[in-house]
Amino acid sequence: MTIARAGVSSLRQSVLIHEEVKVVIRHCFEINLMGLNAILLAKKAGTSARGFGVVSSELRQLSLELQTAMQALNELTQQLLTSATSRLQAERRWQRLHDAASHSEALHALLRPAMQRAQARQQLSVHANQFQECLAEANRSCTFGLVLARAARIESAYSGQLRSVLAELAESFARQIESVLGRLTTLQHITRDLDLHA
Amino acid sequence: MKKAQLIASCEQHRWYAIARDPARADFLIDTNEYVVTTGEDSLLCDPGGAEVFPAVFAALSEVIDPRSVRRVFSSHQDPDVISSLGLWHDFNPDIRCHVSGLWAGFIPHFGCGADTLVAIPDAGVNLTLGERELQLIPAHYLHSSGNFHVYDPACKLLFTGDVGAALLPDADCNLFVEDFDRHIRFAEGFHKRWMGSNTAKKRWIERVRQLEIELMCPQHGAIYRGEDVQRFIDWFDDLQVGYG
Repeated sequence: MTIARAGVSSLRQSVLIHEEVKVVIRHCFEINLMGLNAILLAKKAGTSARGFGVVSSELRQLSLELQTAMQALNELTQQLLTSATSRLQAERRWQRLHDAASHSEALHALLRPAMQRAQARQQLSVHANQFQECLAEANRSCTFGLVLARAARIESAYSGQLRSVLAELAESFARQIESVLGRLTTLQHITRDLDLHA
Repeated sequence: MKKAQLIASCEQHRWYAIARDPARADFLIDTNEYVVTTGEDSLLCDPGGAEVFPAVFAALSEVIDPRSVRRVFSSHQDPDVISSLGLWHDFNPDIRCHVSGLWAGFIPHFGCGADTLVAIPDAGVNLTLGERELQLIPAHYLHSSGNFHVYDPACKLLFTGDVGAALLPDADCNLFVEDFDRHIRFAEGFHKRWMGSNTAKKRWIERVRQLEIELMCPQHGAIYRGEDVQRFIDWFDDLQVGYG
């Protein structure tokens, strides 16, 4: 990767990350709403659906934890955006200085400190491992979410007359969480490359 | 940090203001950026200076996918209006910038490709965004000699660049004008000094009096809405501007 393209690449990565995060946050919001709906339905179904209610409330809690992880990821993305912009500007400056310095040895010596400063500003201040830590946390929550969705499926079978509705809800929980897991995998791929462009 | 706020909409056609940045450095003039979007296609009006690019980009990303910004509109050539063009062009080399043809040789100093600039003819032109038409209307010499505003008949919104601008104190961070008489005091000096021609001003006023406007959105300061739009036009009509 040439120096002139590294900043652009980081900027584009920040967009990809942010767009994925927005989708995950939307899923979290939906899980939360579904959880609320499930709790109300379980209450309506009475004692037989109490287990389903407990699992749904755990799923709501999980959606909040995931949202917190996504907010942390968002903050890192903001830092990445600022850093990538600064890097783009530094690349532009470095290129102009380099063009000027190529005219003679004397000019090169004169401009060297400025070029070094511009080069120093091309380092990203955000690193892949910061993203990976955040994603690992979200992944753990999601894996637990899958277990909860499975438990919800089992509990729905013992939920009396509302069992078919609750079974459908349990399926929806599982689909939403699987979808989040897919997004997290994509995020892992995107952020893994960050340091390659550093 | 800047924040994008929905100011007008008509089904999927939406205007967001990215206004006022309490976190900006003191030595930079505060600017408002506006983005109009259909979801698939977005036009960014006066994208701002290079220094505010991260704040504008981040705020915009909260409400739309920045990859949908395929065109920018630049009311004129000032650095606080368009010096971020090079960064937008780095992000999307196919981006197009609609601006008065007068600035074709000047704006590329901020960085862009040979095909980036699209010259707006002096008489103005219409731009299609999704199913909507936006009118780029002339506002020459207010204050720049090659100057345009954007009128959106669907949302009855007029983006006016520096016309209507007010240099407000930092504490005054309302999105909309709340007290016209107080607000206009912060606009008076700016308009007297920066608007160069009473003749050009009269011509602009004749033009905009024919438009139905509910929101008038300047590049600096708060947005005029409802009756304050007419109040501003009347006030500007009476104001002696420029030199001589």
